Amino acid sequence: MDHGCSSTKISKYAAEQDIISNLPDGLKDKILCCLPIKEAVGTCLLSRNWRYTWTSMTELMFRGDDFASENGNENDLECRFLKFTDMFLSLHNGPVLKFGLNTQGIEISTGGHIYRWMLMLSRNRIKEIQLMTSMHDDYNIPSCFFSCAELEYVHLRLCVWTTSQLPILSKGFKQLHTLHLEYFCVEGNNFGDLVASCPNLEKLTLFWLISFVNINIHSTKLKILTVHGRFNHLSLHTPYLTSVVIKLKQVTGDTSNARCNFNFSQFIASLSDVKNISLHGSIFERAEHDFLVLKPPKSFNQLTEISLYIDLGNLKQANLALCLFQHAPNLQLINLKLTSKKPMVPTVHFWESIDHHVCLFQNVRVVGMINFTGSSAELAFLKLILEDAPVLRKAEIKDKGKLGKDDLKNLLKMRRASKDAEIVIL
Amino acid sequence: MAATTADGNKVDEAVGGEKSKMITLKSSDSEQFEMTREAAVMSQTIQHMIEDDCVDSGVPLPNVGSKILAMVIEYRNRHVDASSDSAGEKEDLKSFDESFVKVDQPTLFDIILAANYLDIKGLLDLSCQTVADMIKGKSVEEIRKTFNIKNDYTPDEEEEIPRENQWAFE
Repeated sequence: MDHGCSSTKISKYAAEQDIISNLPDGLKDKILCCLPIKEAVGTCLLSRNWRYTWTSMTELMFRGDDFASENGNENDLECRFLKFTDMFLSLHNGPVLKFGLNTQGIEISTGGHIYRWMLMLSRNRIKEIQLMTSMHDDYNIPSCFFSCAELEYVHLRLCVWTTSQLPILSKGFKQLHTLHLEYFCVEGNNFGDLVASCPNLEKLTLFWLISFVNINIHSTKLKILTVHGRFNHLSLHTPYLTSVVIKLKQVTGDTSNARCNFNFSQFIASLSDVKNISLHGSIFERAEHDFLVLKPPKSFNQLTEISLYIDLGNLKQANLALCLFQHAPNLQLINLKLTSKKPMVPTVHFWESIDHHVCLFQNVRVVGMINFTGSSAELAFLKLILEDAPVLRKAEIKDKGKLGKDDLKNLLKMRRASKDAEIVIL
Repeated sequence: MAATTADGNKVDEAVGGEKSKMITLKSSDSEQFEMTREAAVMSQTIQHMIEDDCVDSGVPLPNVGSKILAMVIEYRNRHVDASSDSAGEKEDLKSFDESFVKVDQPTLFDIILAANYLDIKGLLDLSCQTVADMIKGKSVEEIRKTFNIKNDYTPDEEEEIPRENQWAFE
């Protein structure tokens, strides 16, 4: 492709022009927003044209590591960073559409500054906020956050929500489509009210929720949901999800103390358009029924991926898994993270008793089994899927290094229905 | 209506049975370019024009010259084809993007202006980031030299500004 200019005379003239300073303001702004913020401000020295260009930047990202000094002196890093951010925001002139703060990995305590910055943003029609503070730097959500009515995207790390903060007359966030909260704390049980006040919320991620509260989520617009953490009570009424990831974390050593209620069966049964499901932690273990109440002709026609944390030798869990498999005719990918506990009752030969020739896994292309121990239940499941998955391409097995050579050899020799099926041992 | 594509061939396929799926774009210097409807709608501007139904005799683009339009079309065709998620494809696309923006400044800024006018987010982000990378890490004098920016500050002003904005230069 010839990218050269048509004549050298014209190209020489063009090459000496200051094109960048004469770009429309919106484009100069866009270029500055691609620079580390300190350098963006530095452009004020270039020429008169550039003196105040930085003050109307619309997308701001303040990163702690941009302020690391060359001589490695970290003591005043916090001071310089906070001063810079304060001064920048006070001299800034114009709308701020995106605001990001990232001090992960740097020991900066933002203290009360977040309150002031949020106040400034709430006056500025902010659309996107990202606050990613470092590990011990948690902060309360300021009440002015709730007056940022034009928010579309929110990503907060290490924040603390308290019930008293949800203003009764809050109009909610009508434009909010993505809410991502990580390492956060909820006090009080009104989290569901927040979600209810966001009628257009499509993606909700709750990652490392660290308090025992009741979470009630009702939404007909929500498409992507991730819930990861510890909760007392989880009630989900979100029938139009396309992607679900739930991981219930357990405190080590705590088996039955933290009673967790989750309307698991009802929730799963309500999902009609779901494309991928991931259930990890002790979800299966704590599910309240042994089976899913699925009224025919109910089936998860869009479901293509399943990922489960499961004890294949446990009757209740095996039943639940089978129920899911039986109602997912288009399933393509199965990922199992295996666990096993000493059985309370002698294990019935569950997987062996399933009919092996009904194409249960008619569309499954890949199966993964992690933490494979070669137990009879696991072997029986593997045998079932190998013999009943006509288009299987790969079965990936990751053992903990405890399987003997003979066991491994036997695995590789197992019979399979699909000619292309490959067994890979990692 | 004679139609030329960016590299001068494949005209016959365009005029054939797939006619309803091809869109004609007209550059500011009256050259014509064919592209598939699918690739054309990567530009929000063109998509709106299609929705408003004013594209029967071709889409006029008075702000975009033929040389730049040809490049934009190449970019879009490449990105429309690559919709798979494989790591290999992503690497290829990345190298394509990297060499795509290795052009002289006037061309680069023309691409930015065209991507802005045609509202093609990916190309706009790529080209603006390329310019930003040309600024990053450089001293004021070096930036001025790179972009031919004339220093019109008086010596007094040049002293005053850093003092005024001390917080930014610490």
